[in-house]
This record gives sequence, structure tokens and C-alpha cells, in this order.
Amino acid sequence: MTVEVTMPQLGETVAEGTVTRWLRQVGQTVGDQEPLVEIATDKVDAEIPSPASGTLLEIRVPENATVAVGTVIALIGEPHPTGPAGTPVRPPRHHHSPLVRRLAQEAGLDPDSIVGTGPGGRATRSDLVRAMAERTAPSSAPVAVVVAPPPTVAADWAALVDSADRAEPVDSAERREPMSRLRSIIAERMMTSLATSAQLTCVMEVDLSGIVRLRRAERATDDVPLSLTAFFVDAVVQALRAYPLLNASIDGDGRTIVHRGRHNIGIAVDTAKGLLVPVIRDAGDLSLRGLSRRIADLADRARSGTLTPDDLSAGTFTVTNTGSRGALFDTPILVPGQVGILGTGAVVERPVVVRRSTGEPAIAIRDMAHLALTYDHRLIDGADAARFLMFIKQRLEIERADVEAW
Amino acid sequence: MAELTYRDAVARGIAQEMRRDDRVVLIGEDIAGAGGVFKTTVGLLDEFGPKRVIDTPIAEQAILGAAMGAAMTGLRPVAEIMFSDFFAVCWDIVVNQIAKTRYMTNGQVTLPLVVKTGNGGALRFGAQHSQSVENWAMAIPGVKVVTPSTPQDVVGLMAAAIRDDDPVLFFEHKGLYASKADVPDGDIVDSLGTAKVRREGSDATILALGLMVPRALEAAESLARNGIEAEVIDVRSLVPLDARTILGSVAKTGRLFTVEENPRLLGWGAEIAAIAVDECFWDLDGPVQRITTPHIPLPAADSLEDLVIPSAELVATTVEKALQS
Amino acid sequence: MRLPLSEHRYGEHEAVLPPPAQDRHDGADIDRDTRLRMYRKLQEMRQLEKRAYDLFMRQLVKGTSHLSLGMEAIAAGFGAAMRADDYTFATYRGHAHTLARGVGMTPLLAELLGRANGLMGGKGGSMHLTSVEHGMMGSYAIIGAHLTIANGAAWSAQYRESGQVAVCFFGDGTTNIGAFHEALNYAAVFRLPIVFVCENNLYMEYTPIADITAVPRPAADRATAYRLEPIVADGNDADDVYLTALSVLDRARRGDGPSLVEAVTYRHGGHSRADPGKYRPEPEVQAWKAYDPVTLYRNRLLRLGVQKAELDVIDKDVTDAVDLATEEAIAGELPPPASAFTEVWADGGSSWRN
Repeated sequence: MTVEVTMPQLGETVAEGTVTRWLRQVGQTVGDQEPLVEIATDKVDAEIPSPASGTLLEIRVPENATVAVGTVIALIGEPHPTGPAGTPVRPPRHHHSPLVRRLAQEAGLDPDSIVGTGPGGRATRSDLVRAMAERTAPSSAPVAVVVAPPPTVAADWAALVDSADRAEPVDSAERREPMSRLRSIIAERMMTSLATSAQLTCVMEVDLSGIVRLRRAERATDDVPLSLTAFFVDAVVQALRAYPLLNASIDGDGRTIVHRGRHNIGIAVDTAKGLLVPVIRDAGDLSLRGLSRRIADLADRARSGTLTPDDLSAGTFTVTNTGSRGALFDTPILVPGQVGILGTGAVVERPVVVRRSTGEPAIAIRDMAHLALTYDHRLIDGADAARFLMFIKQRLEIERADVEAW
Repeated sequence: MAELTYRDAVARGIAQEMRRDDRVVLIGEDIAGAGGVFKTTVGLLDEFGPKRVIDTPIAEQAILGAAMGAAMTGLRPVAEIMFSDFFAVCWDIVVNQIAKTRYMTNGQVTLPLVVKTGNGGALRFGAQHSQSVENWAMAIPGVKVVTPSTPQDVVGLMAAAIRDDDPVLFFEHKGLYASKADVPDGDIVDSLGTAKVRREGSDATILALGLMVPRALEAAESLARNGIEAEVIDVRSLVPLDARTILGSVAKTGRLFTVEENPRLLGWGAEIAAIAVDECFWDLDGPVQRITTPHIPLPAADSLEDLVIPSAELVATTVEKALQS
Repeated sequence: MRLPLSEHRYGEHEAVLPPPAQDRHDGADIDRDTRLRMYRKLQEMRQLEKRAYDLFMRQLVKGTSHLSLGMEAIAAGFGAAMRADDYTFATYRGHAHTLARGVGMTPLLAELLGRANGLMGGKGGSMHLTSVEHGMMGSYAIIGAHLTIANGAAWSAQYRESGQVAVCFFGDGTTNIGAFHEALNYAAVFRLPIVFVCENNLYMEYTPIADITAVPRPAADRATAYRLEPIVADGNDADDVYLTALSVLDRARRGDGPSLVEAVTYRHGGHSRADPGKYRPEPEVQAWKAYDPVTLYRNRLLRLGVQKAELDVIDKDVTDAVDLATEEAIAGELPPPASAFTEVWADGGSSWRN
């Protein structure tokens, strides 16, 4: 039931009145006889009480307007009241497109409060964008949480229909196979590594002729063959002593450097099931022969699947022999938690320029290989990486050596 | 690269595939000796001979039935229904037999066939020879539906249709047969189920098919002169539908318009509009509007036909008015 | 039709009787083995169809079924004459034709019961029985359509020069629909290796065929319109069907083109399970029941010296097979919900969008 509020007669001879101040706004509730509006006439000013309790639905006469006594100045009633003819009256609807409503909600804005430049004063997308830019405080309005309905037969059916409707066409030459556990782990580690560190690779060539000669000589005499990897691991450990930052780690928060004193060098082993990286703990404590023995043991156990969890953990730096199948070099991916990994390429006989003792250049055939150091640029700058790698290169480029003195 | 008419592109697409696979055969009324009433199969009889390019009686059910039976048993037929209006004569074979047999036999039967047909109006052929009926086909589960609008697309989509192992209805537009464009040399193979953005824009998305594509592009040029940059998408494939490209555009522009030659009710755009309102509701900045031929048979008189089939001008004024209200 | 229409008497018409003698083809030149095989097939068809009827009565078969009871000799006779790689196209009354090509009873019954172990996984049902691996290229439910499709299979065989023949079975009512005429003309024009077999059971669904066909023999009297020989066979005598089949198959295989065979027969039941068939005159029904293709054949074999015991063994074998198939069909699981979405397209899926 809507009640009309009319301009009262504030004196016997008063014919009109002026609304000076509305004490309630449209949409607010007002109780019966509570103050509603201030009226002024040429004789008297008065505060007019509401004739009914309800919601102020409409203000027909704005402040400072003068109207005749009896004019309807406001309507009070319930939201969705019946109008004079008994027909339901809809409250005024604001036309906001779904896009505008969504943007407004996401920004915590009331679309009605935005000055609209669209037709009929409607807020447009660009109005919203402007209003959002003008706000400095982040929105504190809670974003509506859509509660998923509990799964029902209807929901299952809908999912089935939807997945059938939009399945990608299957190529009959394709076959699907779930990844093995190891494969899944490798996949995850690779992605984590690339996603959490800033990796790039520094490459140098190294002349391994001396080591090659040494190995050839030793092979004839010794029961423990000196593995090439052992030389690399040894050179790495020495370089880590000189440049300990390459042995560090960056903590999970990304802002803390964890310096590590032990040199636990991982060696990548290619097995039938996938890549495994067993770790030589305290590699610096071992001699070349000791390293060779340990490497051989770890590689065997990797291939036979008998590594223990201790064998696979606590690495601080990794060496990977990417040249075993002939690759000149590649750009290895860091083991998560480490900031350096050295990839060693295939050893290839090549003509290179050498200097005689007289200083004159000559061409010689040497056993050359590429060393590729991938490092985490969050911690290691390019110059440090290059110095580190240069140290390793110089350590490996020996003309003559005595293994025992190594 | 050379200029090719749309009608020659049809023959080129078929020839390309017939050279590659001698299971591909072509049947239809007047397609062999006469090269097709619309000259879309010129030269094929000469190149491939009377065993592979065959003129049939006027018997649409027999033509499509033969294509189906041959497809079931090792051939890859292309059959022509001269005017797409004539699908009504053999619709049983399309919707009850071709569309459903693989499903009912649970996959025992495969039907790698193509039905090509001359679709659409603007040629003053009157109500029974001018209809656009690709929307009828879209409504039937079990057939794929493509509608190329350029000569290059004709070649590429014909090749894709012939290579596809499912039944494909290939709707050529009669009003585009004389249109020309540059087409690269060599084999062209396109993909079914892909729409093409013909013009990029960020103020409105306009979807069109067939003859309506050049009209939508013309409208977009006119809109651009008034500061409205419309994105025009050539839908090309109704089944499978490239919803991703279309909805991506709607999400970007917030305004969707379709330009459909079908009569008002249940044109192809009605379905896409429903999908957009369902899946892009919160990206819509205004009502989705379909610009279509009214719900009437097509008149024969040229002035009336030009009035009722959507024109570039109608598209431009509709979009402009919508964006300003 | 009796004209004017106001004179037409629905439900009253002259009985059409079977041939008087059952032994006309006793002397046919057919070897014993072939005859015994045909007898076994007749038994399989008869017993299986009866079982299908029972299962329908028990409401294990849903929807509707069109049974071939009384019409088995046509399927059996052609089945024995066809090559393993020939193509069969049948109507929705196709159970016998499916058995004729060697399809197992279990998948057939399981399909009727809508089970996962059905011939089409429950997705086609009684009216669409298909087994491509057996050459049974489908049962089709729209009158006349499959004649045009069978033409395509014949065309393909001709194109590939494989020597295969397509055999297309349909009812008398089909001879009045457009697709029949399109298909016959098309086959004749291109001299396709196809045999069209009209199983004239004298009734188009509920109406006598004579009332609504312009010519007395619905198929045979149309043959000359397509420059084909009128051929009529005794559809209840498997030997007559067999010999006719050999002749027309040979013609097609030689490259001499299509044939149209009218085989006259009679349904024991109504058009479909829902129809008790009360519109047929009682003397007609009784006379044709006495001219039963299965008993006719059994009696012939006995006259030709086959031991009753041997035939009884065949009968029992078939009963056991039908019982086993029934058990396996009833034990079959319901099709998984996901199967409703499979095999619309060649990739096995049903997706229409990305």
C-alpha cells in the first residue's frame, strides 16, 4: 500500500510551501510520525512527520522547489508496492550490461555510483575503466564466491555431455600412455627449475689432450680405469673452492643465500627408465682413483635401480656428460636448489692453433671438448660464471701430469 | 600464385584430391559431360575419365544413396546436389541414413563422403532455387558442414573434406561462383572446424558465412570511417564449430553480431548467439543481434531480393546504431 | 482399391492362397550338404525369432520388433547361395537376414535387449542390425532408402572389379515408394551387380498390397519398366529361392546387371509386435500356416531319405544354441553411459566444437 505525502497547509491562508530539506533519502525507511521533511512557508517553517511507516520510494519535489498545498511531494510504502490502480510498480531499474556489472563488482564499485557517459546516462565499459583507474585504495569489497553445487547426477551428466561435445578430434595414429612415476618427477623438476631460476649458459672450449694421453697411459697399468668424469668432478671441486658462490643455494623465499661448505657433486646417469642424478658426497675428499671408483659404483647402481635415497639427495652442484652420444654441447637445466651445472661435450679431434715455445703459431691436432656451464643469474653474474669456468678449463688443460700428484 | 575464380577453385580442389587417391570418384547431374550447370567441375571428365566422373539421372535419393553405399565399401565419393534446395528431395538419405548409420552400428561403418551443393541466393532464381540451408544441416548430429567464402578456402576445404573420414556437406555459394582472388600454386589443404578472422577490430565482432562475408567486410570498412573498428570472422565451418576463435573475439569486443542469409528463425547464428550468451555473458556490453533475411520465402524480383537478403549497408547501420544506444 | 472410395470394403478381401503342392522342388539339383545347411538355418531363424517374441512378452525386449516368422526361406535360400564377401542390405525385419550371414545369436539377442554385448552395443536396436565383418551391411528402417544405398555398394564392387554382388531385401510396400523407382532405374542404367529381392508377404503393414498397388504383382510387374526380366519365386520353398538366387547372383557377377526377384511368402505374426494381424482372412492365414517353410523343408528332407534322428539332432542343437544365447544376452551388462557419446565420427567421438 503506497501512501502519498502531500504538501501540508501550514496556515489557514497558506496556499503553497517550499521544500527546504529532505530528512530521508529514497530507499531509506522511515517510521510513522518520524521527521521526514522540512517545509518553509511565508509564515512558518516546520518539520513534517511521515504519515506512515515504510520505505521512502520516491521524492517528487526536490529541495528548494515550491508547490501548491496538496501536491504529492513523496511516496512511502513497501518496495514493489501497488500503484494507485493496484498494479505492481517496479522499482526503477538501472541498465548495466553484464560486462559493466562484472567489472564493477571486480573493482568493488557500485555501477550506479559511476558517472555514465553512455546513452541515458548509463555507465559504459570505458566509464568503469576510468573509475577503476581513479581509485587509489585497493578494493576491500569481497569478491563474490561462487559456491559449486554438490555433485549430483545432473552435474555428472552435464560434465559427460560437455566433454563429449568438445573433445578434440583424435588422430588414429596417436596413442595415449600415462607417464611413469620417474618420468613425471623428472618432468615436474624440469619445469620447477626453469620456472624458479634465471638460467643461462656460458660455453668454453677446453683442450683435453693431456688428460686423454694420461688416461691412455694409465689404462695399460692400472686396475681402476680413470674415468673422464672423474677429471671433470675433480676440476669442479677445485673451482668451487675458489668460487664458493657456485656451490650455494637460494632459499625458498628467493631472497636468502645459503652458503654450503660440503661439495656434494651430482653426476647425471642415463638409465633405461630415465635420468637419475646420484650424488658423490664430499667429492673433495676423494682422489682421482677414488672418484673413478665412486662414479662407476653409482652409475652401476643407478642402472640396476639399487640407489638409496641418500645417494640421490643433498647435491650442491652437478656434472652432466652430454657428449656421451656425440653432442658438442648443450644447455643443461639446473637441478632445483643448485645454482650451477656443468655439461661436458663430446671429445673430438680437431685442428687448433697452438703457440710453440718460440711464440709462433702452428696448427696441431688436439682432443677438444666444449664445457657448458648453466648458472642461476639470480645469484651468479656472467663474469663470475666465466671466471669459474675458466678456472675449470685451466685445471683440465695440462700437458703432462702425474696422477698420484693430482 | 594466380587468380582463380571460386567456381574453378571447386574443380581444382576435387582434381587435386582425385589425383592423389583413386578411390575418390564424382557423381551428380550434368557434372561430367557438361562440367556442371554452374561449371564447377569443368575438365574433370577429361582428366579422370568416365569411370570416375559420372553423370546420373535426376534422382537425388539414388545419387546420395549410391554415394553412401560406395563410401561404406571402400570408395571416397563426392556427390553433387545441384541446388541446395533439392536437399529437401533427398533429406532422408542425409539425416536418417548418412548421419546416423555409423552411430547406430556402433562404429562398424565409416562414411568418407562429400556432398557438394550450390547454396544461397542473390541470383534471381526464385524461392525454390535460392535458399541457404546450411542451417538445416547444422541441426543434424552426424554430418560436418563447411561453407567457404573465398577461392583459396574452396580448394583447401574441399581437400580437407575429401580427406576427412566423415560425411561432409560442402556448401558452395552460387552468388560467389564468379568471384576471383589470388590463390597460391600447388596443393592446398585446409582444416575443417576452423574459423578465420578476416579483419581485426576491437569494437564489435561480426560473424558471417558465404556471401555475407564480403558484405560484412564492406560494412566494416564503412564502420571504420565512423570510428568503429569491427572484427569480421568468416565462420567457415558450422560443424565442427570453432567456438574458441569466435568466443575469444566476443570476449575481446563485448559486442556480437551475426549476418545470416538464412530466414529469421533458427539460422546458424541463433545457436552461436545462444552459446555466446551462455559462455561470454559477463563479457557482453550490449545485446547480441542477428542480422538476417526476414522469415519469408525469397522473392524472385531483383529489387525485392536485394531488399531482403542482408546488405553491407544494413549490417553497417545496424552495428552503428547498436553501438551508439 | 474398390472405387469409388465409398465402395471400398476395409477388412474384407479375397484370400490369397499358397501353391497347392509342397513337393514341386523335391527333384531340384541341390546337394545334401547344402540342403542340410539350409535346414539348420531355417531352424535357427524360426527358433530365434520365437525366442525374441517370448523375450518381448517378458518385456526384456523393449520398443518394437519386426519378426520374420513364416518368411525364413528367402533369407535361408539366398544366404546359402551368396559368397562370403557379397553384401546384404535388409529392412527393419532383418533378424533372419542377420543370421543368414553367420552372425552369432548372442550378439543378436543382446542387441534386442539393449546390452553392451549386443551386436552394436545396444545403440542400433532390432531395426538396425549390422555386422560389416559378415557382409551384413545393415538393416534399414526408412522404406526404400536402402535400395539406393545397396546400389552404392554394388557400384563400389564394380569399380574395384571385385566380383562382389549386393543383395537388397525389401517388402512389397516398398515397390510403390519413390526411392524404389530411383534405385531400379539407376541400377539398370549403370548395369550394377545387384539383386533386388521383394519379399511379398501380401500386406503392406496393415493394408493388402493389392489394394494400393496399380499392378497385380508389386515387383515382378514393374521389372519391364526397367528393362529387367520379371522373376517370381516361391518364397516359402528354400530350394526354389536357392536356385533362383544362384541364377541372379551369377548374372550380376558376370557383369550382366541387376535382377528383380519377387518371392511370395506370408507372415505368421502381425507387421510388428504391436500388431495381432486381425485384418487377414482366417482361411488365408490357416492355408499359409500349413505351407510353413520350415515344416515344408523338413518333410522334403525326410522324403529324400534323411533320417528323422539326424534332423532331430539339428533341432536340438539349435535349441541349445538359442538357450545359451538367451542366457548370455540376459547376463549382458547395460551399455556404459559414455557409450552414448561414441562413434558419431570416424575418430570414435561426437564432438562438434572446440
